[in-house]
Order: sequence, then structure tokens, then C-alpha cells
Amino acid sequence: MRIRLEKMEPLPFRARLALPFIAVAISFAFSFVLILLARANPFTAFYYIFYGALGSPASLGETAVKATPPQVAPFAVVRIPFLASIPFIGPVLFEQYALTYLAVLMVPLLGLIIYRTHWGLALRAVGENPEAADAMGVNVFFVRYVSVVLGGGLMAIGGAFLSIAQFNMFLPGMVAGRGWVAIALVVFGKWRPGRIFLGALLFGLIDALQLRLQAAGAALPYQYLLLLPYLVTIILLVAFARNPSYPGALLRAYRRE
Amino acid sequence: MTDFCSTPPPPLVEMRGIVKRFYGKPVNDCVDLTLRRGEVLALLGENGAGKSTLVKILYGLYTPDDGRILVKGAPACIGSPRDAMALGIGMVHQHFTLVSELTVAENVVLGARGEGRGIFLNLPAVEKRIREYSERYGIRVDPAKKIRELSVGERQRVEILKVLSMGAEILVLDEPTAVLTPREAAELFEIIGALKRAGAGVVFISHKLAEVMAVSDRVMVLRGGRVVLDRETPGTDARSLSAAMMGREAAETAARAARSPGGPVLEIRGLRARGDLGLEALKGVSFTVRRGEIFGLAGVSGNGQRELAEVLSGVRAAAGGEFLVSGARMRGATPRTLAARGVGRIPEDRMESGAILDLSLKHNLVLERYHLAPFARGFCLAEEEIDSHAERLVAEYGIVTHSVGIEARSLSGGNIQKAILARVLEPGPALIVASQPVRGLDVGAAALIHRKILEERDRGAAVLLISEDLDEILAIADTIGVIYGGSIGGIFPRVEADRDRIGMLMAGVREGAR
Repeated sequence: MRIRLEKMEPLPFRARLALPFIAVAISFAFSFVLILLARANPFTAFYYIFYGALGSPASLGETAVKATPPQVAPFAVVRIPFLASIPFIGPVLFEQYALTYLAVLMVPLLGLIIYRTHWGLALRAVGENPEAADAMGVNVFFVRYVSVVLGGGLMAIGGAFLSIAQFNMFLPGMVAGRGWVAIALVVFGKWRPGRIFLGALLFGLIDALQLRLQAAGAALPYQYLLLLPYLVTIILLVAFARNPSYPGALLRAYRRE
Repeated sequence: MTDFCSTPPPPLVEMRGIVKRFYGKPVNDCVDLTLRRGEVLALLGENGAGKSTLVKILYGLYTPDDGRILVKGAPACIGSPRDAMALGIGMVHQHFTLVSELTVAENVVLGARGEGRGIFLNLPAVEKRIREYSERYGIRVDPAKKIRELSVGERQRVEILKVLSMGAEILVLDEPTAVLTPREAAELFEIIGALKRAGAGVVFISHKLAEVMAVSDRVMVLRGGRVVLDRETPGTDARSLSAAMMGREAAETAARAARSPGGPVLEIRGLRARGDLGLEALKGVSFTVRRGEIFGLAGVSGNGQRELAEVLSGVRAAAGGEFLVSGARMRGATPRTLAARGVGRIPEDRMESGAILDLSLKHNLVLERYHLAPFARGFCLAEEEIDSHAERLVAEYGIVTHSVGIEARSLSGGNIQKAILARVLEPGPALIVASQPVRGLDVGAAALIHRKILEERDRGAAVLLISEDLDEILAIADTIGVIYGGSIGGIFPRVEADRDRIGMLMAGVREGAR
């Protein structure tokens, strides 16, 4: 992941690189509490880490701001030749940030890993029934460790996208609860990458819509428009996730007897 | 040293002089076991006889304190299930280790290690291999189905497939029929027959004599950690196996005077109920427990006694039939109604449903009556009443504790059981349903609990004593009933009770069939 980012960036900049690293460190800490100590209720571990992490981007960001000018060279939009010239769909599909292409690529890639590889099978088994997986010789702790850390890294890229690609600035709280939306989308998508992607597209659509509406000077106060994507998320969850198929061992610590 | 005579191939497994102690107490005491190719060996014995320990040693789950194991003639060091699997030893546990959201094939792959596998799953190949096994051994199961869509019998077949696909030639089946319907059990026996013909060795643990007689080639009976019988199955019969299982030396001679109990307190009429897996656990149970009588219900665990106790305690719904307490219909009554009606319950799992371990001892002592005077004063608890009540019971029942305010969790198992007993007996119940009241307790605590139960009986309470320990039942019951497969196999007064006969009934041999 680090290598990928270095390759993509035109300008290396410490603060920018630090973001995903910090997130990986946090998910390391999380997985440590969750898996190694095993006694910890994952909820408790989550809340400690969450509130600890909540303040850190702001304080780290501030230090960075004081030491160096706030300008950060953003990810440039990558225009794919010819294809981007197709009227209408060209700019939509072929004129995006590198991270956007990466996100779209991750969907089939993760689907392949989860459903077609031995690693993915072990991952699913460990998430559904760690006792059975352990009895069959799967290293439950290793699989959980690696998965939580890699998952944290992917989420970090998602968060970093806002500050170093889309908005090209950092504001405390700029993520605006999108991480929670991501969790909701995972539930809505029943842990399947394809379905989660559809949910994410829908959320993105509503978000884009409210931005356009704001720009067009809609009569509604902008706070209501900002609310829109989250409202849709809640409605989606209520309407489609009535029979959520939670993994059997979701939020359950595993300890060997 | 060359021997030109054709020597027979070495047995698949030889266990020699196996000793295993837990806390200094021998659970396996110099046990020998031999398993040959194409042989089905039945391991028989009561609970705690050491069968499970022995096979767990073979499967690498326990390390023996002494003795050695030879697999196909070569000394083997089995330190873990993985070592066991590498030697071709596979085990099918009572509790399945399957991931219910994955398919049959995926579960099989998950267990299969090595064999030059790449990064990607090759499910079609695995499914093909499963179909081959299915045909060869008659194991019918659809490899593409998810485990949660399968019946219990099918899940067990997946476990067997899993073990076979890991290359096992030695199969240990730990009470495989305990969770099966008779039809599924018959199918399992066919599979065992096919495995046998293919040259595998099968160790089959069971309590049920009829099955053992039908399926095995050789029987080994364990009692108190020792082998008391090891014989070809055709050379034995249900009666001698049952005698070997139960032992004769403890035969009760002092038949107590027959007591004359009073009127009926608990009347059970055709009671039916389902177990946790949805199988029928009680198939029309009927009996009566009278005033001043201890009715001892004997039986090997898993024959419906837990479900019976739960129905009588109001925590499991009955599927049919009725039961009356002091003449009032009580089917469907809540635990609180039953308690108010004078039913005292000593549950089987004392730590789970007998006490709330995070509450203090004194509050545990009023769990069924905290809402009643004198322990409740309006919406408040009358703590001083609860304190003095607890102090009194602690003294009377000899509960060893520093203070009545201490968390129940910090008490020993024996003291928790004494506290439960105190709570149950204190209101002077008309009926006491006691499940395994002394299991796992030390001699002193057990004796106190038996004395208290006998005192209650003499006071005029009706007692239903459910126990897997036949000695306990023979020691204190006035009437003995035997439960097997969810039905009552026989009821007789203590004075007429014969250990052999009860043993046969516990193992499912019906009266008149011997």
C-alpha cells in the first residue's frame, strides 16, 4: 500500500503519507487489543480506539500545519486517453482520481480473494466459526490479525482520499461520519463486495445530488441537503437489511480453551 | 532374526499401558487397546469410565502420563490433532466442527492441508472427490450445499467425509448416534460397514448395547478407567456387557424397608418435548411421584432427562401431554408460578441456571422470592431481612463463606450447590426436582445434600431425583424409573431393584428381550 501511494504521488510529502500510516498503526493497536488480548470485548476495544483516534488527526494535522504551509499537492485527475473523449460517459468513467480507479478495481479483486482463494476461505471460516476453523488447522489469530490490519489500511486510503484528492485540504471532522456510513453499507451489502459497491454508488449519488442542489441554490436550508445521504443510508438499512446475515463471529473475541 | 513365516500385518493401532491422571486421580489406568484393519471396535462404559479420555489421547488432545502408542507397528508420538491426522487418525466429535455458512466442499477444503495447493480454490475438483467418496462409502451428501441447509445426520456425514479426505484410515466416532434419529443411525451403520470393507479401522464409542451388538466386531468395556472386558462381539451378549459396565461389587444388599408413600404430588401424563436440535427428546413419558417418596430417574445422559427437568421447571415448552402438581395442571406454567405452587428446582447446570454468579450470595438465596414479603417492601428490597435470612441459611447448610455479601462467583461448586439447595428447601416445597444434585461435588458436600433431600422426603416432600449415577439412585431412591431414548423403560420399587436389570434398561435393552 505504501509503495502504491509513493508511485502514484507526484510530490512526496510527509504529512500526506502519514495519514494511512497512522491508520495502520491504529488498526494494529486495535487488532492487538482485539485478538492478542482476546479477553477484551471488541466493542470496548473499539470505543477506546475510536475516541483515542478521533482527536489525533486534528492534533497531528495542526502540528503539520504549523510546521509547514498547508498546501499539499493533490492527486491529479488521471485522464485516460481516447476513452475520456467519449461524450458524457467519458468524463464520468475515464477522468477520475487514481484512488477512484483503485477503489473500483478493489471490488472484483476483493471478491476474487474472498470467494476464490484459500486465504479467503480461511477468512470466511474465521469470521463465521473460529472454533471450527481452529479445529481444522487454520491459524485463527494470524488470519484475524492480517485481516484487521489490511482492512484498516484500506479504510485509511478511503479517508485520505478526502484530504489529498477530493478536497485538497484538511479540516478536523471532514470525514463527517462516512466511516459509519461504510459500516452501514457493509451491513446493507451483506458482506459481499459487489453489493457493497452498489450501496456505495447510491450513497455517492445522493451526496453528489445534494452538492448540485446546494450549488443550484435550492430553497431548502443547506443543512437539510447535507442530511440527505445519511437519511437515505438509514432508510436503506431499515428497508433492505431486515434480515442481515451477520457473520457468526462478528464482534466476538476468540480465545483458545 | 529373519522370520520366514508369514507374519500378520501389524494392527492399525496399539495402545499399551496408557495411564492418564487428572489431579492425581487415574482416569485411564493401564489401558491397552488394539485396532486391526477392517475392524469396528466398540468402546463401552458409563459416563466417566474413561472412554473419551482414551480416544482423546489417541487423537492427540491429551498427552498420556504413561504408556505408548504404535500406529501400524511403528511407535508414534501424538502431540496434537495435527500429528494424529498425519498418522491417518481422524475423529468425529459429538459437537461438529463445521462452518455453517460455508458449503460442504468448502468445509472439506478448509480441513485439507498441503497436497500442493495453490492460491486459488479448486472447488469443482473437491466436489468431484467428494462424489467419489460418496459413491465408494455410500455417504450421501450434496457437496454444493451450505452446512446450515443440512440435517444433523448429513452434517455428521460431512464430518466423516472431511476426516476421510484428510487421508484417515483410523476413524474415531465419539457417540455418533447420540444426535441421530434411528433412520440416520441406520444409515451411519451402513457407512461404517463400507469403511470396514475398505480396510479402515473404526473405534465406536457408545452407551447403547443394541447398537454395539449390531455394529461392532469387538467390544471393550471400561469401568473406572480400567478395561474390564475385551472380547469378540459374537462371543458376548447384552447381559454380560451390561454387567461389566455396571460392575457387581457394589451390589446393594441392605434393601431398606419398603416405605408407604402418600398421595400423588407430581403426575406426569404422556409428556412430550423436543430437544435443542428439534428432535423428539421426550416421547410420551408418564409416571407419578408421591408424598414422602424419592423417585430416582436413572439413565445415561442425553436420553431426555434434561428436557424432562426443564419442562417440569417451566423453562422448556412441552410438545404434548400434561403434568400436574398437587392436582393442578401445570403445563405451560412459568417458573414463578411453579415456584409459587411449591415446586423446588435444583437444575443440572448449577453455574448457568442455578445461580447468578455476579450477584452476592445473599441475593442468590432469595432469587425466587425477592419480590415477596418479607424480602420485598414495596418496590424496595428489605436488605436487613435478606441479610438475616442469608446468615441463617449459611449456618444451617454449612456454606463456607467469609460474608453473605460476597459474589457467588467466588464460592466453590459445592458451596454454590449448598446455597441452591438452601434456597430451594427453605420455603418447604411440596415437590423437589433435583437434577444431578451431587455431580462433581466432594464427598462431604454430596453427603450433606443427600441427607437434606432425605430429610425433606421424611417431612413429606415428593422428590424427583434425576441422576446418571446409578449408585446415587440405589442409595437414596424409594422408587426407581429408567429413562431411555425419551421413554420410561421400567419402574420398580427400590426393594425389587436389581442392578443388572437397571443396567440393561439404561442401555436400551427392553424387558423380556433377554
